[in-house]
Amino acid sequence: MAENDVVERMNKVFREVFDNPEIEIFDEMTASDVVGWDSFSHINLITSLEIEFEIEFTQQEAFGFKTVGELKSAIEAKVSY
Amino acid sequence: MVFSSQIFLFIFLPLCIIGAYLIRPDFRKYFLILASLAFFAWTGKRPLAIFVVFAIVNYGMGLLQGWLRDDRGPGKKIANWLAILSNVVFLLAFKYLPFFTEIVTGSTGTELPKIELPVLLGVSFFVFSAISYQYDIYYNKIAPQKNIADFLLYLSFFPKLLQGPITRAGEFSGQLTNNKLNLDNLSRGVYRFTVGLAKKVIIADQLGAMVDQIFANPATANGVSVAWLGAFGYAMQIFFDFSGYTDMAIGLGQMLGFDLPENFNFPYLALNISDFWRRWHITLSSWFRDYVFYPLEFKRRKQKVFRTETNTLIVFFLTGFWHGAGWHFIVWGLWHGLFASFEVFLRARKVKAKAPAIVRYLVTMLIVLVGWVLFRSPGLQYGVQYLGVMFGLIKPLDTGLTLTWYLNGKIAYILVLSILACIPWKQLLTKPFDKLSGSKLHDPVLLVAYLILLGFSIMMVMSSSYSSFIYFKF
Repeated sequence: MAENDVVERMNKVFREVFDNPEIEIFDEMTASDVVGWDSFSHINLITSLEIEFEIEFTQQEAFGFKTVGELKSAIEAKVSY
Repeated sequence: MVFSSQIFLFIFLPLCIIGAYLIRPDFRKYFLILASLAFFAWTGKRPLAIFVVFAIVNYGMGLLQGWLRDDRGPGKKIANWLAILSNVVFLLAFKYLPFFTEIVTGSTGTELPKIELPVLLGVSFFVFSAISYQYDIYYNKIAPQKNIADFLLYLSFFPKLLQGPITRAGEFSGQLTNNKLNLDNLSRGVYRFTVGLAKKVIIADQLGAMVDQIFANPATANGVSVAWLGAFGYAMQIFFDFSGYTDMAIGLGQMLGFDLPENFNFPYLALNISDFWRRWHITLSSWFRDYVFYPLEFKRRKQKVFRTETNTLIVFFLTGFWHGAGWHFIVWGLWHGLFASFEVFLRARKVKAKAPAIVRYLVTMLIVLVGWVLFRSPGLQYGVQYLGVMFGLIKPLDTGLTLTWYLNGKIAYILVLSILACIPWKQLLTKPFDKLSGSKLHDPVLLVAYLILLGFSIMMVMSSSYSSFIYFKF
């Protein structure tokens, strides 16, 4: 899967979860850059990404991401298998 | 040893502060460990021995988890389960054994052999500190402590040992290498401690004497107004008792160069129950949030219907049970949980409260007050009857003890004082406070005010008989 494709689909999920059509994700983006991204909505985000990419995260992975870039790398690693 | 006791105030504390300042910085932590263990030894020799073994086992399990950090097999997970489970079993054994024995005997009729374990004061607090330590290692949030002294101080640091605030290893251990022992912190700590001592001995203990009398009567022997006075008095007593303790703990931490987390943020200003729990016993609610609620939410993330509502209820059930082995604590937890879940349900459907803030406030305080009656009662039946009297559902017996018998001038004065002390004056009156803090008078005025408060509190300590803190028994 091309990197752009992953980013585009992630972006779509971010916009849905945080109910903001203007979100543009970038690698260094963290929770503090997005209004409403707290631990609570984080679980919704992870679940929605799992559905979108048909993958599964462990709890350790899910709570370990610090940036969108890390999240993207993890998704890429999982979908390429 | 209680912070507001004479032995603590006049012997233990001064020796501890003088010792901490005189000793070589690299020996300071050993000195603080010794002081903390001596503090705990006040509860008995056997509890101290058990505590030390508990700490060493947790230290070992932390190392084991660290050693298995990169293990790809099941070893890492097993070690983590072992670490968490053994802590839970320890807590269940030392706190809930009689409760479980009673349930088994009551429901099956079989007499179980009685096992007498010593009472471990503060067990719920230090076990929770140990669980968060083991959990955070597993999730790579912290590295296991290699130095046993560092771990022992994290677990035993006496200001927070018996009654919190529940501290996380990550925040505490970072301060070991950067210990801020200086006169600035010492004076900040003394001020904070003074406020806590005053809350405890001027407000909580005085109201406590009255509340104890009311709750010592049979539930139906108090008139309606006396029952309301008891409930209101207890709501104030528990807040000033526990937040007073926390102020003292934070103050002691500052005197010794450590920052402990805040536990309260004007809880009696909450506009709903979720808000109340963001303001009341913050370190406990955030513990449950991080170590129970979020993991539960994650585990059940595929379940869409009532997931967060039921998880909220589970967390509040556990919060109630954490407070004690009694049905009234469990029902108290579920009572709060019911409203918190309902709020989650409404929030998920984006339903906004339409009632004016004052109505929401009064409803929230009424829920909290009903909860405190259950919490204070010696048992569930008593609590329900007491509430029955409060709300006019049960006609009380006429004992002739009217409101004025309990509500004398002193109590009325303290109740008014307690209400005033629930209001964040500093935030409301920023202008006068800013003016004062910018003026030359600031330091002398503050000093005199605190000296008066301290003198008055010490007078109370000297004149009153010994009184423990409510949260010690949890």
